[in-house]
Amino acid sequence: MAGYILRRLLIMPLLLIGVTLLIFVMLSALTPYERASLYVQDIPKRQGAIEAVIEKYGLDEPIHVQYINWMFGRRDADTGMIEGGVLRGDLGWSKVGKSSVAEVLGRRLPATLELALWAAIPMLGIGIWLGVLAAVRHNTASDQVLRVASIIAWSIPTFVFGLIMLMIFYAKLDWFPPERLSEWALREVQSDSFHAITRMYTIDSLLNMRMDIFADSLRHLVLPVLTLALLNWAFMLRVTRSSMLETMRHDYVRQARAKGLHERKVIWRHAVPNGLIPVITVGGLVLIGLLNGVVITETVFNWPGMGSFMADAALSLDVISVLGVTLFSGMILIFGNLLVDVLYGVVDPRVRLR
Amino acid sequence: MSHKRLMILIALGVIASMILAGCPQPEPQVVEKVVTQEVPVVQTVVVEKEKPVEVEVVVTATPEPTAAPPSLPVVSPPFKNGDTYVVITGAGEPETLDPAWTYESAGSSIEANIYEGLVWFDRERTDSFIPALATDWKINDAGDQWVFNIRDGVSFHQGGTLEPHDVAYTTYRALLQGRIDGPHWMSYDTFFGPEYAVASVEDFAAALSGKESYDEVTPEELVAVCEAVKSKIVADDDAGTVTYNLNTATPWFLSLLAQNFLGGVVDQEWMVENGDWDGDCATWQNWANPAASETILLDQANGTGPYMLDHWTPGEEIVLTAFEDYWRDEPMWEGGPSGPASIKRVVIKDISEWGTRLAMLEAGDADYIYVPPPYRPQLEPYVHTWCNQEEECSEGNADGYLLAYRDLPSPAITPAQFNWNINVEGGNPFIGSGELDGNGIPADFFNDIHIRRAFNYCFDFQAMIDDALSGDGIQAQGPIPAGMLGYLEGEAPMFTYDPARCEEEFKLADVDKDGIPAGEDDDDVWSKGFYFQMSYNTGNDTRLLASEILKAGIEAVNPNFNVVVVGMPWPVLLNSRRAGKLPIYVGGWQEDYHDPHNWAHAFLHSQGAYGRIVNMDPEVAAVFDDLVLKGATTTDTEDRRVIYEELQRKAQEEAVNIWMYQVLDRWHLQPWMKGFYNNPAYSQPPYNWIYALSKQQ
Repeated sequence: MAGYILRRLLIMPLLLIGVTLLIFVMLSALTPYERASLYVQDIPKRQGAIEAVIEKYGLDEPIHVQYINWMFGRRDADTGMIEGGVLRGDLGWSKVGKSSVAEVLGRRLPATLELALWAAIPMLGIGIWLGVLAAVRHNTASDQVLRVASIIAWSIPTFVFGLIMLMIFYAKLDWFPPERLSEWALREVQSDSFHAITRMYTIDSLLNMRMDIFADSLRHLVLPVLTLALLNWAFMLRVTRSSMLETMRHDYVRQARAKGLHERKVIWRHAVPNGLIPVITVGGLVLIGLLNGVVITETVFNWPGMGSFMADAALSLDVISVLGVTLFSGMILIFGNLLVDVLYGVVDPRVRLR
Repeated sequence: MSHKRLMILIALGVIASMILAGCPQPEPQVVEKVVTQEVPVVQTVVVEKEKPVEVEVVVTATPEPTAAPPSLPVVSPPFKNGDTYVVITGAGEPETLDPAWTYESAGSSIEANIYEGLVWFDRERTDSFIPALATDWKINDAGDQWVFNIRDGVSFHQGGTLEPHDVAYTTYRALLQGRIDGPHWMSYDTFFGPEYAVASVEDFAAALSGKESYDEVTPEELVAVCEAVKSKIVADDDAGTVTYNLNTATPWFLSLLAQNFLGGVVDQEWMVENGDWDGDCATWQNWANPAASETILLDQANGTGPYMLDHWTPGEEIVLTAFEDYWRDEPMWEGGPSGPASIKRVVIKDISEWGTRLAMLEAGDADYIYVPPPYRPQLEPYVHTWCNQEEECSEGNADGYLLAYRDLPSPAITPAQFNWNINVEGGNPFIGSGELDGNGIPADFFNDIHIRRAFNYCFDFQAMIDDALSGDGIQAQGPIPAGMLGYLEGEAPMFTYDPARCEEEFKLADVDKDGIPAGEDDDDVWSKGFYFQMSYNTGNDTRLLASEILKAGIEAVNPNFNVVVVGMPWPVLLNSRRAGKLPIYVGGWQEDYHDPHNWAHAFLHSQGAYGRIVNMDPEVAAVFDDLVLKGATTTDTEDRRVIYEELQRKAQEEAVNIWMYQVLDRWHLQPWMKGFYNNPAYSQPPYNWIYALSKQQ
């Protein structure tokens, strides 16, 4: 397995280069003028600014030269110094984030991570539980209801569901607000007396023994978590159900029943562990997706995570930010997949990673 | 409860919630009228997004307002965050918080609370100023030298004390920073003359040194440039004065000084300590023309204003806190604020999603939210009190709770600008064949005044206001907006939608210049017809509608007239505009400083930002140039009024452009927000001068 992991890690830089090359090629569809317009706020009043930007950043150079500049840095004509270069640890300046891309990622990741981790609990827990339940009660009324419900839940646009939740549970009832914290709690968190260790407020509040902030942050998590969970819960339910149905037809399950084991034991000790193997793959991918940011949910709930940053950057044609986030997302995806593969091998002894 | 029952209950709950979500929402009980939004929106308005840019630069990918939240009965929210003013914008964040760099309203409105200039606006008035960091001032007879006495006992947020040299440093730092595309073309114009109104300090240095480009300027000349700038702003710490030596009499100088890009005073010592330029003429070029990220004031601030910058987390919030050592101890005006600010903390967030903004307002977490015009009707049931510019208020919905100000003049005008002399070099697809053959227009098509007048009569101004602006607009009268010196109070705009007059004017035209009016000439425009393309920047639906309304009006009078509306990406459109190839260009202007010169020069001067693309006939241009210059150099207000009124009238008579519309603003505040007034010169009136506001339950 060690050899397998090593090989996968060695391939990773190639994959990342491939991803960034793809993005660069796609960006080449935009003219230098279009890309330069991002940096020029005042085109109508002062002419000539676009050309200056194009020249300064070499936006009219061949795409491969621009790519090399982005990777290795570009020599500034005035100072003679090499500026930028991903391989030099400089992901560039984020126009949208008003700081270096690396800084923005560092600032936004905890918010996304916190949301993803909390969303994973109902998403995986309830989704799997209901999936098992539907499979066990195959073709009963509860199975049918769960199947229909999952289809409906899967069909509701996240945007609409999130907004309706927001209008009912926040605007009207004022139970579950958007954003990460209430104004008073945010002020506390930003004070010197509060130690921001992980920048995930639920965890930091516990580490600071501030249960009031913990409760507030949980309140703020309810709606985005519910919105995310609804969609993914339906997905997990259907995957789990299918997998469980297949598993429960195997001989060893029949054998367990024939031994006279209690049905609960048959299900949870023999069928579920095997039925969940494909679910690990799917659940892992869903979690990776959450870690890369969930654009719509973050936008609706004004959650300052990776997803909303990526959306802002893309809409603003902030090429540097888009590339930085893509690179980061690619890394998460590759690492996540590797982890899932390894986990798969651990859970299922039949799978040997070579 | 058995497992089965539990499951059924859960399932029923899920289904019920789905059905509930899918059901039409109950009609608000208090809604007085149903508003059908026909505009296929997408709008983040302009004025908020980029002050100096086009008035309606719009781009959002969110399909709005199709996902508008459901309307539920209006319920007054609880009073929250007593000492905090929560502002929710939706039109972008500042580029930087460096006042000298800023040339957009998102930044300047925040800086106005942190920095102060020598003077400030007298409440809602745009033409009257009260002392701020100056105690008083005097002007020489020529009107080109202004001497200000600087106030004693003023502290900066970080502890320094205001001295005259700080004021001078602020100004010459701003001019010598002079980033490309920034606001200082106005400063160079004011201090050195219109021939120096160039794009950046590098261009300015080259122009002042008589060189073609900045690269050719020698180190000695660079020092001379710096010294020339410094000689324009002279501080005398002992006398406590600062003297400004202007190029010529500049009646709008106070208006310019009230803008933070020139007037927002910084502490020289603190700036130097933090790595900014020290004022040495040998090194200024190292700080010249920086990117936003390269100035030390990008995300830190040290002014004398009533609010200090607590922090700015891009993408999340900007937080200001009251400066408890604020110098003001007398009311700014009768009943006005004094002492430290009443509101102790200000939180400004940029939230692009309208539904989220609305929810925050309804929950009481937001004290003010930005409401784009297409969404304004949606908020009408929530308004309990309507007020206007004169602060005359009337009751709206008795069950509502919001305080709203409407019909507020906005300093932004959008015309359709004719190109009197279209560039045909290298071909021009916008004008078809380029001939008067029914398949194009000749280059000088719009040089004919009857053609221009015909286009004016064929534009349905009212449809534009009603349909594209949801009623929140007025027909523009000329380049000078309503409420400003030079606006023809009580006079209706010269042109109204009148197809008969449109036809009449087309028949009077003589495009082929054979001396025979088109109505009697088989070879002229009325018989031959025409074709051209009218472009707008894709994503800007207001401009799309304006173009479509004009097209419909023109094509309705003669089946041989053919106007094709074409959407183009913004930079591509600008490139064509710059090349002088667009026959008509719909583009707005938002003022930089509140004076008619800023409008007259921009629209009517042959070198103005828009005037130069109109390419007026030289004789007409000369008349306008003279009038613009005359208005700029006259100091007496009444004399200026006469000049600008003449300009305004003449701009209509000549039908220089189709003066389409001036948007009317509307602001929505929670009922507990007190002290609001609308000053059109503010970038964002609801949070441009928070010092005047208070929050009372």
